[in-house]
Amino acid sequence: MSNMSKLSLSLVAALFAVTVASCNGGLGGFSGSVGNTPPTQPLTSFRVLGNPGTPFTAVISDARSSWTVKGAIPMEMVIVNTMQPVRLVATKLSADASLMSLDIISGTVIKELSSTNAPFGTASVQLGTLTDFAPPASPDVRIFVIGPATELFRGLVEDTKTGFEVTDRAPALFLFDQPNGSVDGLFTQLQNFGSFKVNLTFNGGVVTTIAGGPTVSIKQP
Amino acid sequence: MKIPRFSRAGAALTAFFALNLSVLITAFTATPALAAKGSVEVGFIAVPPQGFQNALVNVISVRLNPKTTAVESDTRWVTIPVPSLVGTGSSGKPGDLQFDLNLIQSVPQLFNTATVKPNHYMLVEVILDNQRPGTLVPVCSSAGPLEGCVNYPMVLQSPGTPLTIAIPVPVTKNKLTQVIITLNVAITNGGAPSVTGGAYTVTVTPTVAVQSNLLATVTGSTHGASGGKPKKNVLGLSVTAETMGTNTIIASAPVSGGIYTLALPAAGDIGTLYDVYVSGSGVSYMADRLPALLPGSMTNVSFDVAKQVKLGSIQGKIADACTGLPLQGATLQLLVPPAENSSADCTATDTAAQCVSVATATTDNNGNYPLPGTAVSPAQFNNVPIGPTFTMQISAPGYDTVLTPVTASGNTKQGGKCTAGNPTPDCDFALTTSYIVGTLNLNQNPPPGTNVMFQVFAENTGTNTIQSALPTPITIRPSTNTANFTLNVPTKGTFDLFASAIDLFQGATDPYPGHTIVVKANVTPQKVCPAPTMPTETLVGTMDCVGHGSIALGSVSNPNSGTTVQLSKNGVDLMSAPVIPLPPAPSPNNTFSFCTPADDYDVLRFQAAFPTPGVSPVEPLPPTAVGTPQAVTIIAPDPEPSAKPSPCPTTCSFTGGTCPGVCKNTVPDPL
Repeated sequence: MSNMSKLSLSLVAALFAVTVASCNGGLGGFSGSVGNTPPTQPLTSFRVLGNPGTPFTAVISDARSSWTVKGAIPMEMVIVNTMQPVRLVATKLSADASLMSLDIISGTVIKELSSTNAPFGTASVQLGTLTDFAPPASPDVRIFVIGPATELFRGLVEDTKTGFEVTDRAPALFLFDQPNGSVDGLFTQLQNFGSFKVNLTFNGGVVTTIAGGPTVSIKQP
Repeated sequence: MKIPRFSRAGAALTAFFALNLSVLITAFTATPALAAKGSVEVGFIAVPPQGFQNALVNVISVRLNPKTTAVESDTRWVTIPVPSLVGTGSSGKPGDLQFDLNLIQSVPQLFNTATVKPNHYMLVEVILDNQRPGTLVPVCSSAGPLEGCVNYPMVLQSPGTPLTIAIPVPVTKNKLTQVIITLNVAITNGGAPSVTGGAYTVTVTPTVAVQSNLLATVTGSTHGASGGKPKKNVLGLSVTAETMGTNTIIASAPVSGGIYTLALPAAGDIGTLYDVYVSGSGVSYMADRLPALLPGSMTNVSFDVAKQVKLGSIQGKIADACTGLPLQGATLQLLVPPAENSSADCTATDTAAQCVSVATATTDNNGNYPLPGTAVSPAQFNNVPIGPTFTMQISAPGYDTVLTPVTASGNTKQGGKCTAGNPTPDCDFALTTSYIVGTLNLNQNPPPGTNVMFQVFAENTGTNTIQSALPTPITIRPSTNTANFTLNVPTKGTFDLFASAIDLFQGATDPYPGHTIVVKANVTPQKVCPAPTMPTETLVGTMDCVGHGSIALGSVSNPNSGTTVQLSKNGVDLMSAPVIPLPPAPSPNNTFSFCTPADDYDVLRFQAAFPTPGVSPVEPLPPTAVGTPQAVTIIAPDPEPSAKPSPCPTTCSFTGGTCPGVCKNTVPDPL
């Protein structure tokens, strides 16, 4: 590695450390107050676990917004700037007896679990009581850390006013609830399993994709 | 007790413990990834309490300690967590996994295999979620005052007491050791709740598992490749077992010194059907379709693998042929003929089921495949041998499945060559679909402050083979009693539809609905583009608030592991249930149960084809009906006598403000 590359990495790491130290909220052990900003409610996340590769469709809602997510097990979904209560309803999209197990997590604490082995089985979890799903998110802005699979990473996801620290494993999908202005994310690998692949979608369309590592940043155009 | 004999070279039974010990331990030969360590495979089998539709436990991990007196804070604990690909966790910690103990009473479910430092471990501990160890869902009780078919939390009688088993677990270098744990879950005396939704107090105790009743061994050699230390970006040489005719992996064993050993769960009566294949290290795929494996059996499957070749990739993008939009969560599989049926045409729709899935990929949120793997465990589609032509199966719920020849190209980063005359990029595909646009009606507008959420499913007419579901459940709010839906379905054939509500109960998630299930049989889809908007199909009847109900304590004569009972309404199959518990469960029985809203149904016995002993089936056969359907009526619970503040504090609300009462159970005649 050239000296210039080492310097660049050092700068990125230093910038990341400074940035993370000055934000609030959080997930993965960083909930509560950090730095000089006041604490916010822990982020809410959902895990869809079970037999790897099993396809599913899910609808997630907090008190303000809802999102439809299609994908395959395993996947973690995080609502950034959550307004509780929250609820996830997921339908397994395979006609076999594979397992789909749902967790709902506030900060780092699992609050509820639900599972199904039934063909095209449906399961749901919620935190609080959400009697009716909110309207679809508008704008619908998402950052998807697609891989490398199981890579442990730390990062910062933020809009123009608030930043949230995250610690997660890929694949992880960050759903922004009514972001202020444009959003961005900064992610650093903790295991270096391979290059990050991250994309940002706006109202259903991928607008930015990045690859690389160990630290990447992605910004809404 | 009988000690199984393993005569095959490289496979040796090292320990079997009796005298009321609850853990099954076997050890097999070396694995290359374990050069400096051993490996431990953990599985569970269960003895749940009776009378429950579901008995769910939340498992965090299993851990081992070399000291029988180890305390919780001991630093020598070795943890075997939920598999990382199965349970990604927050803060980098693996997550919980929820198991239904009812489904693992006769055949164990493997939990995880982890590399472990060689040692003579003496203590095994099961770690359940200490805050939420599990959930019980009772069926409706004809006598009791408690609601059935809803979630009741499980609390441990002694939450601070570790769930440990003092038993030797010898983990040695280059050996695989198996630990099968039986979880006995029992409700304590007086541990039943007194109010609906209250907690059941339970004890969780490990008990004896007998290997000869649980596992079958598959072992053999890989002539032409011996395995060894995996290289960066190259999958190690391994042999994988999956449920026959699927890509559901049950276990995978690395090859070391040209030898592998798999220990697979097996049903004690008719056996269990598996496909196995060898892959990795640049060898071409080879597959076998095995005869039914019985517990205690040993099957030799050896592969003459070809010379190792260069690896390439198969990549592309999957889209909707009508809209052009990317398809998320589509599944791609590489199929090869098994050795017993090497002439099987994997590219033909009628015979593709004769082939074995040897690699799987899924699409991301932009329709691209495969999802990225890691340097140590690269994506299977980025580790495909260059040279042979395989069949790639592309499927997505609601779309026509594509079978196409494919070859790998490029390197382990990018490549792929499909030979079906597709436009560039060569391995991009657009899947065709058709549409069913329909209407669902409620019998009344939801009362103010309430709504009804429902999901619609489509299955092949006359079967319970579900093909599609709505991408998002639909909600009907108080201003109306009707909603339209558009469902993607494959273009061939006709479909039976059914719609089921997704309710809350007392504000909490409700595992079973309190609204009737509405159906429509034999619907022909519209093969048009763009998607039509005018509904042409109306589900029969209205979705009514009726309350929960159950069909339990039904019995089936002389069942085996291939016996199921299907529930249908107006000729449309809704769901099926296993007959449980079967031997080797300590108290075998022959019962089935359903939680389903009060209504008129039919139940019918189905029986899986009994495989000829020692003969590999050409393809998995669907179960066949036995006898004639038996009509069953679940009586709707009487409304509670007085109106309650809206919405009802139960599952749904009647007109006039009354609420469904406590649900009732129906016992059908024996099948």
